[in-house]
Amino acid sequence: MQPINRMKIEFESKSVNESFARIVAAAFASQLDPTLEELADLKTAVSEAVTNAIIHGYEQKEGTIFMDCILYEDSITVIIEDHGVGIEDIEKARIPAFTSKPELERAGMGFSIMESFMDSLDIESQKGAGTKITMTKKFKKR
Amino acid sequence: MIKPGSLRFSKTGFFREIKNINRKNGVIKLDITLKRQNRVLTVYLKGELDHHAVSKVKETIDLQLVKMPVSQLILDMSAVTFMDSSGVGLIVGRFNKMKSLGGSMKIKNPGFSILKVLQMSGLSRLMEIS
Ligand SMILES: Nc1ncnc2c1ncn2[C@@H]1O[C@H](COP(=O)(O)OP(=O)(O)OP(=O)(O)O)[C@@H](O)[C@H]1O
Ligand SMILES: [Mg+2]
Repeated sequence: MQPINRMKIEFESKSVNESFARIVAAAFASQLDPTLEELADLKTAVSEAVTNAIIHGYEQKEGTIFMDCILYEDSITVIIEDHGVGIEDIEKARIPAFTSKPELERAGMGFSIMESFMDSLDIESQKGAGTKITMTKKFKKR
Repeated sequence: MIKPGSLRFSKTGFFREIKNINRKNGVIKLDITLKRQNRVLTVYLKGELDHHAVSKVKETIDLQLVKMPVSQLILDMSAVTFMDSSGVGLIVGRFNKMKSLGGSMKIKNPGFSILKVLQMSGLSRLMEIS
């Protein structure tokens, strides 16, 4: 399918940018006139991926997060990338309630939420190199 | 570390958190109001409950729990407009804390999208949500 619009941003690994990123993604997606529920799902998934980049990828230190949003006629693909520590075992990371940082009161629900709130979730990661999350949300015909 | 703002008394028995405006770390879009009745502490949250905001909520609640005995913690989420897994971690953490203190915790009035995150995370099986 041909993309109909695309935008890319990069921002610093700061927790204040979690809301910035999800609002930007939702504003871009609203060009497709999604429902409020679809927008809420998208915002939550983006927030999960960006929060992971900040907490796990860059371990709350400096870094740059890249967000790429591609609009199709009835869907959006969001790619969130960090050049942080990477994930050693992706299968394990995807297990509901698995977290490598229980001391920070993490629930281990981020990937499960991304998976259930979006229509597809793809995780690419290499230890020491970084992580790239690609997720797509379909919007119902209205 | 983000310091919680100071608490201001009001005649109605509510305490309202004075807005924590910290330009360096970015403003936190979440207001906290507390109400104490005997041993019941009700926490009213208003705004967005994400990783940026949770440490402020955690510190505010945990400070109350050491100040005076609390047998029940009620989290009123009627004015929460956004929540992700950071909020889930905060709730589970406070739930465990209340349990270790011999008390209980419940959640009140979550909106549709908040309830969706709570249910998907299995919190509705852990505590009362009404
Ligand atoms: N961008 C990332 N870089 C490095 N590791 C990551 C990244 N994203 C996720 N992980 C790893 O995958 C695990 C699972 O992530 P997930 O988001 O599901 O849970 P969590 O972040 O630990 O907890 P929660 O999302 O509930 O706060 C993390 O604990 C971490 O070990
Ligand atoms: Mg996470």
